[in-house]
Amino acid sequence: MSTLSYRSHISSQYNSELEDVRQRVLAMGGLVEQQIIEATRALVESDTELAEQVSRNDLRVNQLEVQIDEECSGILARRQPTAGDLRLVYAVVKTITDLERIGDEAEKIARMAVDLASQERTGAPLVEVGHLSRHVSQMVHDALDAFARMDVDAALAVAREDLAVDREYEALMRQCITFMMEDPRTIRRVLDVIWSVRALERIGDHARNISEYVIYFVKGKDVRHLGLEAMEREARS
Amino acid sequence: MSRAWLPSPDLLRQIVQLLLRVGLAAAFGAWIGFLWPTIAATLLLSLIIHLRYLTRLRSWLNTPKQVDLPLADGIWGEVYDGLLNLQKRNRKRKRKLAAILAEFQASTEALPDGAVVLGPNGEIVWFNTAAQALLGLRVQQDVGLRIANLVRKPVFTEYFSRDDYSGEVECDSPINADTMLSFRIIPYGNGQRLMIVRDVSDLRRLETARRDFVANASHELRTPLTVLRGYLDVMEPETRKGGSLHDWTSPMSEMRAQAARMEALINDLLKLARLEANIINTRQDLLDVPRMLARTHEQAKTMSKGQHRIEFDIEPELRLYGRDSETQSVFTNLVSNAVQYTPQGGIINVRWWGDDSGAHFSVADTGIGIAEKDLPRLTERFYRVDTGRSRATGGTGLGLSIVKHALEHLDGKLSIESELGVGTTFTCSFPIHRVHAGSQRNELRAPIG
Repeated sequence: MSTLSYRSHISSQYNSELEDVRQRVLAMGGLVEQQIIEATRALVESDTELAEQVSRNDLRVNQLEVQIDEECSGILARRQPTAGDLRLVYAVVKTITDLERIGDEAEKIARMAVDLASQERTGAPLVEVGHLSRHVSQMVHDALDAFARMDVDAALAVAREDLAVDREYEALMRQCITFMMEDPRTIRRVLDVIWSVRALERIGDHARNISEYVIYFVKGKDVRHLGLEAMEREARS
Repeated sequence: MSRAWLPSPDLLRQIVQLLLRVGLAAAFGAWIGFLWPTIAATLLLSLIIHLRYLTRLRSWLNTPKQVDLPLADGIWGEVYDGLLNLQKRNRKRKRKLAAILAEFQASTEALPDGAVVLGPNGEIVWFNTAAQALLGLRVQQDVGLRIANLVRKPVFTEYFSRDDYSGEVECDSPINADTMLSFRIIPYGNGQRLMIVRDVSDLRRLETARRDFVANASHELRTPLTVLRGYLDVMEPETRKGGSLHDWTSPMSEMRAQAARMEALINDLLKLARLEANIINTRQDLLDVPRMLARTHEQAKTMSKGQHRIEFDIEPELRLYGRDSETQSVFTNLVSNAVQYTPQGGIINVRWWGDDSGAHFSVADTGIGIAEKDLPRLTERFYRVDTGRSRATGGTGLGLSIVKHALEHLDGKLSIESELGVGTTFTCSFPIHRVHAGSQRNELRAPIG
């Protein structure tokens, strides 16, 4: 166990470079979290203005990804990190890719919100979408908390939560299909809702990925594409 | 300067002692015929004794709590005594410092606001229990982590990275989206920062309530006005054409009703404003509650028009100290509510009684009842459980607000029990010091002052 090994470098400059990069990833995560919440609010309350703001903020998310990426390659080139430090930089690079994807999904939801705002609102399970969104954004929040605290148990809890989100997603899909079968006139707007639900489900998957990078960084073990039980066994051994 | 080269008297004494011992051994050795071996053995023995004391000292230094310093003679005894004294002094000082620190932390702990001490890079150095609850910080785990890693709201991140921390910033709590927090950072010496976190949810809720009130009040006042204007717009060209007012009798009675409604609304608002202004009137009258309730009984009968069975069960001598108009409005509002919300044929039971805890007034009806989720908001101004119904019965939406505020002035408490479709019981309890001593129950004490 060398959880926070990178704190013990002789060069304090190097230490603070690594800490800074971590802080920036988490700041980016905070922004992305807000993007999810606001995009869904725009969808549920058909607030076009808020949806447009989410689209604008996505540019900032993309910028942050590029900046952090550059910082990481700078550290790789100048410091040539090994062991725990290398794993940290590696986990950061992977995490920001997932965060950027989450940002894209949020933007997609915001686009659907604009489209949906111009249509009649009956016959779409928007309240349930709000619920799924709260669930998913909590997952992203917990994954980032696990990343901040380097907490393997919390990361495992996020992975477990992904299963619940998947079940909720399936239930919502069935509901949407029922809506469309009952009244074909609702198909267009229910399709918009389906796209948003799908985006939320994808966000859940990205949150799970982030928690896997946390386990990779702390334990040095690759737990991607493992079942939940195998993943827990690996992480706890 | 030359003194430094001389051995100190202490050392000289030790050397003399050693020489004496060796001399004695040499004399003994010369007597038994082994001079040099005896000297060597003596020297070796004293070396071994010294080494023994030295190792004991080392093990004591490593684990000062488990190993006791043994008693020793000579110079080692003095060394041990000195060390023990030093340790005792240090312990005392440590206890004193710990007490001061504990006192400081206890005082910061008692603060209702969260306090977090941050190091030069924004890492958490210390935080109190309030901060733990507000931000979801963990006691051991989170010390040393950067605060910006845990509180990640973009508004906060932006504020945190500023150079100038004037003002505060508000965002929702990282652990509970319903809690609004206000952050304020105060820098102090050595790049340290103190972060104060306050829960401002109640404040924000209050602001929303105030905004809602203004919106509701203007809406309620505008509705009758719209009706009045609508009729006037039609009437004016008609009368100008020389039409008679004769055909307008039914619209006119409607207009009168709307005007009366507006008047009632404004009266209620004024009453509420007076109650809220909290004018403390030291003069308290002795109120003849049974007579007031007899009046309320008559009003209720008139309102009900014989559609309900109204029962009044009044203790005849029980009187109260308070203000006439406030107390009367409590009775009237609760009883008229019961009449309005009880369907035809229902029973309304009004009781006024005293016991050891004070005097009580209750109104029980067999009306439509109130859902549990509406109960906490019932005394809010203009809060209506069912908007259409309550307007139809002519309520202003202010009755229970008035009751609540009036009761506050009378030190009374309102409790509501209700079940949907079964009925509702409102009970007002007045404390014992409000109750008149001459009331029929002898155990009631006289009011103070």
